[in-house]
Amino acid sequence: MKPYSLTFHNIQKKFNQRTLFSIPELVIESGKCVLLTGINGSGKSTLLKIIAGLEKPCQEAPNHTTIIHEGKRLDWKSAYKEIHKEIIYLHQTPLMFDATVSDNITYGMRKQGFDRNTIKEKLNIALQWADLEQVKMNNARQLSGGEKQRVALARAYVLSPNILLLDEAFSNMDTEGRKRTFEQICKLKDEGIGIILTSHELTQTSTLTEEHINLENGELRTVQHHDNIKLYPLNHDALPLRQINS
Amino acid sequence: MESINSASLHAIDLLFSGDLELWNIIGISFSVSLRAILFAAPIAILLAFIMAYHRFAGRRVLIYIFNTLLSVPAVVIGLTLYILLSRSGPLGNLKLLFTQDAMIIGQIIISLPLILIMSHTTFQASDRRIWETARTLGASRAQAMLTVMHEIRFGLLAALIAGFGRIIAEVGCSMMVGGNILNHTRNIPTAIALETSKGAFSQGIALGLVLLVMAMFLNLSLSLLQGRGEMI
Repeated sequence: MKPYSLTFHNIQKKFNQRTLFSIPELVIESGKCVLLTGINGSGKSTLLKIIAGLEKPCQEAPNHTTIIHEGKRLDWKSAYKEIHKEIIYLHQTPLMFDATVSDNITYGMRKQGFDRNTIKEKLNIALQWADLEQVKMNNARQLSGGEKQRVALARAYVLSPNILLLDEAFSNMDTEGRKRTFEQICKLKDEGIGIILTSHELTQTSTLTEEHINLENGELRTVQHHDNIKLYPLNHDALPLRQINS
Repeated sequence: MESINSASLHAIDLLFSGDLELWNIIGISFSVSLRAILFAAPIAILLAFIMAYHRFAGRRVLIYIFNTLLSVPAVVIGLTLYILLSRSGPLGNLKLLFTQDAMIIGQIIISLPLILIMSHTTFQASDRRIWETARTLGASRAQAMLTVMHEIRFGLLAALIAGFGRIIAEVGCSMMVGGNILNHTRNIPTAIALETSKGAFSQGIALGLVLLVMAMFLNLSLSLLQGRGEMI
């Protein structure tokens, strides 16, 4: 996979005039795993959804969100026409369509118009990759939490995204489920996919992540040690950090 | 005037002997109402989806208008349509009055708000993750909408059944704009009204039985679908 990066400028989200967060710059790179932490309600999921294009950032002038993609600076709306297929967001509790495991895994490929042979080939690889061959014809909604998470990861894996956003990927799972999910995420990272994951499992994720960022009081900061939080991005002098209006 | 017992026996005899006139009335009823649902359902479901999944100015006003239309009596819709379609009315040159097309238009106007409001409630209650998952996996907006519809299909089917149930038994509008013409615009409810006014109960009871069986079938399907919807 060729090196890939996305740079977001001015990501701001407001709810009823209260600024949830204001992030001057955020860089996401392929092959790198970033841990995003923050207390409940700090806006982690909202931030990931904005990155995935599922939620609109605040677009009040002059704070338009812009994205640098392949050297071009684009506004948020036009950027998503180009990049929304390159970023996949996975919910904390994955949503399974009312269909078989195989149909769930092939959903994205069918909607994106992959040909039948590619779909079949990728499905077989994904079933093996996620160890889901035994349950491939089962209704995905009848699976356990860990199996659903594996289906969700396999569903993303077959689409070969550049960026994967995992919202609390290890929650609601037993030890075995966590172990398997962890292994799958490691494999995805090894394939060069850029990952941002939110988690409260700092010990488990520390071996997986290269960078730890923390969203607190509307600001994104890099954490070098748990007790040493610096403003994100480091060495950033292009844009002043926006103060919170709340 | 026939006794209830003999009228009922005669009614059953009419139904099972394949009385052409009776079955023609039943055929017209189902043909008109099914065509009305076929036109009303896509518009209602699409509008319901837009109103549930998009925030735009006037959205609440639209919901209020459709809620109001829900409670407008069929006869008032019939009267309005009659005025519009009558020879001196603004749409008189279309020559639709006393045709099945006029009945279909009337039934579309009656069923659309009901299907729309019920579908809107179903869309509102649907899990937003369906839309988000579909979109993040690369589905276009239209594909994602169809996915949401598939996932909440039992709720939408219930809306369609309720809409169909309302128009198949509706008498006021059909009578006014259809004219109750035999073998042309006479449907089950208008025929029942006519036969009763003549004191000929047999055909009325036979047609009433058809409506009753259909209502039982629709309600049974509805509760089965709702039960299935709760399971998933």
